Amino acid sequence: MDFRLTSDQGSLVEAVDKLALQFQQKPTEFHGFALLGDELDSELQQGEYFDIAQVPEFGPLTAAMAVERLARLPFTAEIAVSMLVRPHLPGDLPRPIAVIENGRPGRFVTTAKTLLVIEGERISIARPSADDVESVESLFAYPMGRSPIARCRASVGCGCLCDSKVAASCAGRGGEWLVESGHRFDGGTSHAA
Amino acid sequence: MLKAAIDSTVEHLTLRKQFGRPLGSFQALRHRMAECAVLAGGVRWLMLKAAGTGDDGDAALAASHAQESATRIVYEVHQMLGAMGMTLEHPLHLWTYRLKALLSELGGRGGQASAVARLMF
Repeated sequence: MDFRLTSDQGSLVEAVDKLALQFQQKPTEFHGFALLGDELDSELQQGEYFDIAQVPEFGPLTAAMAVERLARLPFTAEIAVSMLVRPHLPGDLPRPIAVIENGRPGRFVTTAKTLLVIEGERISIARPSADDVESVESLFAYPMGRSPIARCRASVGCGCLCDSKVAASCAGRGGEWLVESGHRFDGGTSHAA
Repeated sequence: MLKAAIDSTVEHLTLRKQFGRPLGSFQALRHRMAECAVLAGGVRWLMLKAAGTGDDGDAALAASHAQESATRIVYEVHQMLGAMGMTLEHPLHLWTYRLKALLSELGGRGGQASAVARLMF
């Protein structure tokens, strides 16, 4: 096994480390739990760092190295799902992306533009509005939230819902779409997600 | 996050003196921190392997080892920090409390261990 970084990987890691320098210290006046890195998120977005995994010279391994380095910072932002999971999701889903597991509060739910909803073995994708999420007080040092999704199941096959905002490119994955009652959500399921 | 928590703790052990010497000079504490570093190293390499292969079994193994290791490391680093580890002034909780959140995600240790058993054996 060769553990040496390629020159491309080395350059990227160097760039991430340089970007991270200004976010290395906790502000002395901060005495809370979730230290939000909005500026960090913005810099990553502007530098197109969330697309690392999709660049052939980099791939998911380099993206994982970037996530690992950024996780060392005291500031937190929705980075891992965007860098590592989003490339595998159907369509071009907007970030931040949050995961809700079996109805429990999830990280970054309140600011998420895309929700991955896990219910047992089923996974749905949803696009919440501000009214569909609520903040949850937590000691977890992440901004936590929940979404009281009421759902009904409608099997419409693999494809776009009539007013879906989610690109239904689930060819080859199979799919059964879950539609939130009242149609406030547009959702889709990918068993392979 | 594990590395950041360990690095923060090592800094504390280097600077904080008790019984006339830095805490980090006590061999018992060195051994415990060395164990933490070994565990964190293993988490990192399994994670990178999973990212490289894209294999579900590798991912489950990496997650399982991460969640198992984090449980132990979080306990150890807070023990090392002593009273400082209970304050919000020190940044340790920014990493360890995030790790606590991650411990129960995606089925937690039990769920990941079951996934490893299903996918790799």
